[in-house]
Amino acid sequence: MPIADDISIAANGDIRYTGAAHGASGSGYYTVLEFHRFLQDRADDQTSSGDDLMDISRETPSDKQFDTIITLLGSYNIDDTLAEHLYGGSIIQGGGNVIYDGVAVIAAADAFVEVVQNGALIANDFWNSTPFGSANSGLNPDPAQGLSHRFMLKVRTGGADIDGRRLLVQTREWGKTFSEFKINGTSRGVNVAALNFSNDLNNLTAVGTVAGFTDIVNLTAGYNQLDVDANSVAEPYYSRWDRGSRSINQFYERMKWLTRRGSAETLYGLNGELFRGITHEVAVTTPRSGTVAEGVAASWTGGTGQVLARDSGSTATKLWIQLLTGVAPTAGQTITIGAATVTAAAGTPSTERQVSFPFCGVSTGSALIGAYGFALETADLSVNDRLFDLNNVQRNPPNLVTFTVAGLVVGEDTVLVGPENGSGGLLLNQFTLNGALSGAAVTAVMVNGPIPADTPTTGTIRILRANGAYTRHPYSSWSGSTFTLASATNFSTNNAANGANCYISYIDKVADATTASFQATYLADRPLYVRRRDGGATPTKTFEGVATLGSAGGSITVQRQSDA
Amino acid sequence: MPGIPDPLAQFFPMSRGNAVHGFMGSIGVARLPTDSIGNFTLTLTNLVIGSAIRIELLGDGSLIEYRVADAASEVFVVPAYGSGNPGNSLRIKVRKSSSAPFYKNYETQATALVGSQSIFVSQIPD
Repeated sequence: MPIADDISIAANGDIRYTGAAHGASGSGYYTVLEFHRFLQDRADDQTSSGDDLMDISRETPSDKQFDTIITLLGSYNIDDTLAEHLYGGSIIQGGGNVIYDGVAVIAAADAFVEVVQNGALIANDFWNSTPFGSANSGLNPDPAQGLSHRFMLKVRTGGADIDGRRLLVQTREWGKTFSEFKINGTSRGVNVAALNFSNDLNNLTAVGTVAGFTDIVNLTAGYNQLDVDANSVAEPYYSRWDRGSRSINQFYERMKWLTRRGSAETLYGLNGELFRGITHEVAVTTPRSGTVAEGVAASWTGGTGQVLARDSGSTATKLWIQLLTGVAPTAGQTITIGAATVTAAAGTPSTERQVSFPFCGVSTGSALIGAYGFALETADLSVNDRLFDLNNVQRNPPNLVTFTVAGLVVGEDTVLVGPENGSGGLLLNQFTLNGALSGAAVTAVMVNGPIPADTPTTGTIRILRANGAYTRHPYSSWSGSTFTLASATNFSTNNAANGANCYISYIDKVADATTASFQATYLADRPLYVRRRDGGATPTKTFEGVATLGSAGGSITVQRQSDA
Repeated sequence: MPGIPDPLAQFFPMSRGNAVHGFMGSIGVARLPTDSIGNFTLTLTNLVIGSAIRIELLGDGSLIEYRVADAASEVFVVPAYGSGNPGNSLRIKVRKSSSAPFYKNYETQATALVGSQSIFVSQIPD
């Protein structure tokens, strides 16, 4: 459709679109240069014609600085509707009080693009319209140049930039990779936003199925400390998700579902579609007042954000925020969070943090490479997961492995799994006691040397007593060189001497199932000695063997030979 | 008062108007401001052929002459009026923006006088 058929020029300078609507036959789209040429074509006519009140008697309507920057002069102006039909540059009007800047999206065809402006999604996403006769959505694509969309957006009105002309261009389509591109203040002309829009091979589950993964919940939406790497020192995170019965990849899909296009979910007080995770860490100090909450809005001169975590409610020294508008707080600024206030610390209080798409991080299919500060509860992590705490330090969960003894008869077999001595026997002196045990209510057993880090958190130990027997003692925890017994034990008679042997009995019980197992953190291969005995009604010969607790755990199946 | 002889008598009526010349005398009447006192020959040079040219009054934009340049120089003869007459204030528009090569709109002003003037038109490619 010729541009002249789609545009009218009124005597008061209003230039308006009169053509067909988006998607309809004949809907017209023109570059800003074509628009300028059209105006100029009319401007040198001797007399105006039709609905274009423009000829040489009228003031010059437009000026071209570059092919992509057109200034409408005097009272000439376009409205938002006509702006939707122009692309490939900027239109400046009203003496610079109103500016539409061009956006070109580099993405695969049919990408669905959202634009966040001034902290909110632009509801009228006309650029995603499907042109009449096209198989793909997206206005003014240029596949040869890898462009999926070209359009203009108003970035300045009333003489004031809209949020500093900042735009966040993003795509969050189900089954596709999530991606975003931040334009920190558009320039005149065409502003390019590159998005990754491709199939996500770890996001193949039907959206309706993932909607039912409601057993995935965030147990702590805010600052919390977890010992992800099991080094006995907890690290800070801003979430503690429970993935319920789901796999780590199903969890990843659920995170995408929460933040997909059209999401009605709320995360930390934000609509899921707008949630990005932590963008800035802000050091704060006194003066401060009130109690800083999490999942609430914050504001300061020049910006707004959402507080996702803080290290303390009443004496916060750190905030972790998602920046919504403007720029991050600078030194000395007062940050208002509801009824509370804190002060940005001196120096450079705000540290920008890298966001991930989706906000949880990246799935390998069987493991999660977590985003900054993102965490699941430790029980839901495996050795191949990688998390980054709020100090931006990578944390690797321990390799929890399981050793299983199979082939047992319930109620008949007694199983003992202990350390192997290197000669196929049981290592009786894995430890020696550091101090005699002679009290009537002993709860702590101290050994010489550290207890190995691959020791189960609970279990049993055997201690050599004065009468030569190795008695069994359940422990409820251990730390350093001390086992804490599950219950007070009387060592006042038949005590254990200082330096007496002691070892961990990893499995030490009468079979209550056809298998018995224990779980431990893998550090290095650990040789194990296994003994099974059954002296009951149908006795069998003693089985003895050795096995290894390796990086993938281990197992052994006991043999049964009648001893009748 | 040029053109009015001085024979026996001259009469100037209260009203102003064209000069009337009669036997044995003449009646001189001052010209109206809307009456030209001569011609202003305006030559525009360095024109891009095909440019639209409009000469209009600066005051109200009323058309004096419109022409499409078919040569690099175009000569316009427009009326000149007495000093201070707003009819002498001219706006000259030169536009070539309908077909390539395109040029930015050129606009200048001139004051008509009895005589001639040449204006060099510097059209900038658009």
